[in-house]
Amino acid sequence: MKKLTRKSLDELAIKMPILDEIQQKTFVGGGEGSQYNPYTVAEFDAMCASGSWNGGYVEGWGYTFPDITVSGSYGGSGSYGGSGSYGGSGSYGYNYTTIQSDNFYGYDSSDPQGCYRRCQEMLTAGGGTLSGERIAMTEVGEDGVAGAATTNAANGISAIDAALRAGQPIIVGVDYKSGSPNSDNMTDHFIIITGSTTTLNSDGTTSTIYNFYDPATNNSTYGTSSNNTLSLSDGRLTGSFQKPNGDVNNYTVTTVRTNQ
Amino acid sequence: MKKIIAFLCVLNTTIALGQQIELFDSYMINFREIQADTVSRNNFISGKEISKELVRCFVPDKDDCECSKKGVWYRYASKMEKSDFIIAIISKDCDITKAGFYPYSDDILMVYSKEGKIIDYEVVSREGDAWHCYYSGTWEPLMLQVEQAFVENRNMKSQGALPCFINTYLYTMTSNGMIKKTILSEKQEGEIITTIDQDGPKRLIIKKRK
Repeated sequence: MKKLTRKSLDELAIKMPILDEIQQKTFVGGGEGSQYNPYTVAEFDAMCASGSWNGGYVEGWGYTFPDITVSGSYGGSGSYGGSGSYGGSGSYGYNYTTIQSDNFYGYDSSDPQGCYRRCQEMLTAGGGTLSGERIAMTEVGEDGVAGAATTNAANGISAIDAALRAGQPIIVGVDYKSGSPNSDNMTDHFIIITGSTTTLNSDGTTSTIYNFYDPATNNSTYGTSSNNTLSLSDGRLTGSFQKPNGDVNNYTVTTVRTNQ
Repeated sequence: MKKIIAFLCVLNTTIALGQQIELFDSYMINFREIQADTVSRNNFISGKEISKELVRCFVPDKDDCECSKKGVWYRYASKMEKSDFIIAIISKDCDITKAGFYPYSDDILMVYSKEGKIIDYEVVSREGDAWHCYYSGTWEPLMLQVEQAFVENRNMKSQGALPCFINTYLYTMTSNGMIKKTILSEKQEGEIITTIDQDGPKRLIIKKRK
C-alpha cells in the first residue's frame, strides 16, 4: 500500500479542486442550527420533509422559522329564509429574536450619559446599522412628557417590524419622566428592541409584544429580562422596565431610529 | 391706620398659610398609606413622579456629589400620619450619575408638620446597581432597621454574585420629630445575588458567617 505523505497531498491539490470550509459543511453537514454552526440547506430540506423542522439558522439564509400552523374551524347552522351564523376559533403565533443576552451592553460608569452609545453597540452586535432616519412616534405633551401618537407612528411600527424580520434589533427613544435632556423635549432615554411575539386573538385581531434590552442598568439579568416589554396602546408603544430596586419606569416610545 | 395695616398683615399670612396647606394636601394625596405597623419593602416602592413645583416646596434641595443634575427626579412612595407629625418616604432617583458611579435611588425619610413644614429628613437607604438593602422594624413606634449592602467599584465587573459590605442602621424619631440614626454594625462581608423567579429578577443579600 502506498504511504500517504504531505508531498502526495500537495500533488493531489494541484490536480483536484479544493473545497473551502463552508462548501465542505454543505456536503458533510452536522450543523446544529445555531448562528455559528448552522444547518445546511440539504439538512433543512430533509428535516422539513420529515416534519422535524423547529426553526434554526440555515447556511446562507440566516434564521429560518418553523412553519406556522394555522388551525381553526367554522361551523354554522341555518335554514333557507331563516337565520344562520358562523364562527371560528384558532390560534397561531410567531416570534422574532435578534440578539442574545451575551450581547448586552449595560450602564457604563465611565460614560453615564451613554445609553444611546450602548444601544448602538448592541445594534452592531446584532448586525444592524443606523440609517440616520428618525421617526417621531408621539407629539410633545406638557412638561416634557410624550403626548398623543403622531400620524407617522404606524410607519415607526412598520420600521420596527421590518428590522426584526430582517433579524436585526432596532433603537428607540423613550419618555418616562418630565423634562428631557434631548432636543425633542420629551425623550429621556434610549433602549433597543430585540424581539417580538405576535399572537392571534380569539376575536381575529393580532397582538404584538416587543422585548427590549435596557442599558439603564449594568445588571444584565434586569437589562435583558423577559419582563422588559412594550405593546401598542392607543397608537402608542408603551411598556415598563423594572429597576433593580423593584421600582418601575413606565416607558412611552417617542422616536424610532431606523436601520439601513 | 396702624390697626388696618396689622389686620391686612394677619389676613395676608392667613391666606398664605391656607395656600400652603392646600398645596401640601395636594402633595400628600399622592402617597400610599402605610397600613401595617411592621416595615416591609413594599413601603419603599415608589411610583408617580413628584412635580418640579412640589419638589421645590416640600423636598430638601441638597447637592449630591455622585449625581449629575440632569439625572435627578423624585417619586412618591408611602406615608403614615402620627399624632403630631406626618412621616413620608420619597424616592430620589439618579439615573444619570457623574462619571465613575452607577445609577441609584435614595429613599428619604421625611418628617413634616401637619401644615407641611419640613421638621427633619434623612436618606435611610440606597438601591441601585451597586447597592441593595433589606428593611425590618416597626413604623409605630418608628424603629426602622436597614441593612445596607454596597459593592465597591472594583467588584462591579464580577460575574454572578457581587461581593459587598453591609452596614446596619437603626432609625428612630424623637418626641419633637427629629430622626435619630444609630449604627448597629459596619462593613460586614457578604454578597448580592440576582435570581429569576416567575415574577422576574430578584436580588438578595447573603451575609458571610463571622
